[in-house]
Amino acid sequence: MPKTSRKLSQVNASSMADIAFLLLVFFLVTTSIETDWGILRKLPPAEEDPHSKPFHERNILEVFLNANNDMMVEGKQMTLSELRNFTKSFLLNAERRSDWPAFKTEEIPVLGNMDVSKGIVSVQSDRSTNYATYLGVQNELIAAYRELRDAAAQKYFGTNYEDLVESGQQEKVLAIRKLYPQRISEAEPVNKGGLNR
Amino acid sequence: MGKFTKKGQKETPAVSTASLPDIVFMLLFFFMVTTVMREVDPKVEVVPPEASEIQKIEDKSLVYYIYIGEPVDDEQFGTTSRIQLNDDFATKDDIAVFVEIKRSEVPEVLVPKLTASLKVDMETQMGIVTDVKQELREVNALKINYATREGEGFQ
Repeated sequence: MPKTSRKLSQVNASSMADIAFLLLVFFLVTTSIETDWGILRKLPPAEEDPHSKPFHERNILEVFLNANNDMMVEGKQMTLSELRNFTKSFLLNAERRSDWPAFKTEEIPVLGNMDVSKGIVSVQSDRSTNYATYLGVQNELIAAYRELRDAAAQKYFGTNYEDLVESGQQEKVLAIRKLYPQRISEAEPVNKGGLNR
Repeated sequence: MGKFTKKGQKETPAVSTASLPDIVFMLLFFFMVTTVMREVDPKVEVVPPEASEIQKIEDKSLVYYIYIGEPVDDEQFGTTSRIQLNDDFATKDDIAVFVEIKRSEVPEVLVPKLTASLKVDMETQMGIVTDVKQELREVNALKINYATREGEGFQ
């Protein structure tokens, strides 16, 4: 009997797509695109006596937040959008005001003898202050330091601070950090429901 | 004259669907690579605030999470903000034990690099956050991260 050559029929591949869709749906349901951004912070150790470190009133930028989410900076009420520029002026103290931070001459590698501000920012909130407000304040303070550092990096090294960090030039990065050390302290919160004076 | 036979109406060949699973597999691999298996069942609703000055966390294996927010099921658990550690509600006294457990899971050398990521809902009040921070200070877990979404920042 003559052998009839059969044309091999193609395997129907449409069900492969169904299997793949099922797997895809499974993964979409059980996983989440974890976006892990945040503001990194180092807490001060516990048991630190707040009065052990000598400080001068002029060096401290006092930021108070009350239960109504109002903000008072150095005795004046201020909105969040004004905080950044005020912090920058405070730290720079271009006019060398006596009620604003003093300076210390430090020897910084790469930059030489520079005047470094002794300024510290202290944030105190009420227990009923909104977390979003508090974080907004922290955000603006960090932004102020970043802008100061950017300006310095531009002036001395021609790039901005972030690019300097990414380029891996450690000594230059350290120099800028020593020029504007980020000193943000968090005071114990009060439970008054009003401005603490 | 020729053996031309009408074989029947010429059909346009059917579109081959053999490449469809390839496309779907590519999508699948993309998701497998960019996502993580959700480890924790969220019992509290956390919408982190936006901030512009944020940094990406470098080593995710050295991060543990503390969730603070309103319970998802507010009929049963009320609307005051609660702390969630792992899969369950906790109080601030549980934090010390929790940190110890996390420390024991990591090699000795890496313990100082452990970071506590505080995922706090934007409407929470500072009181409970400060309590948590105080507890962390007491156990010397000083590296923390305030989790945020990327954005313009609170205005």
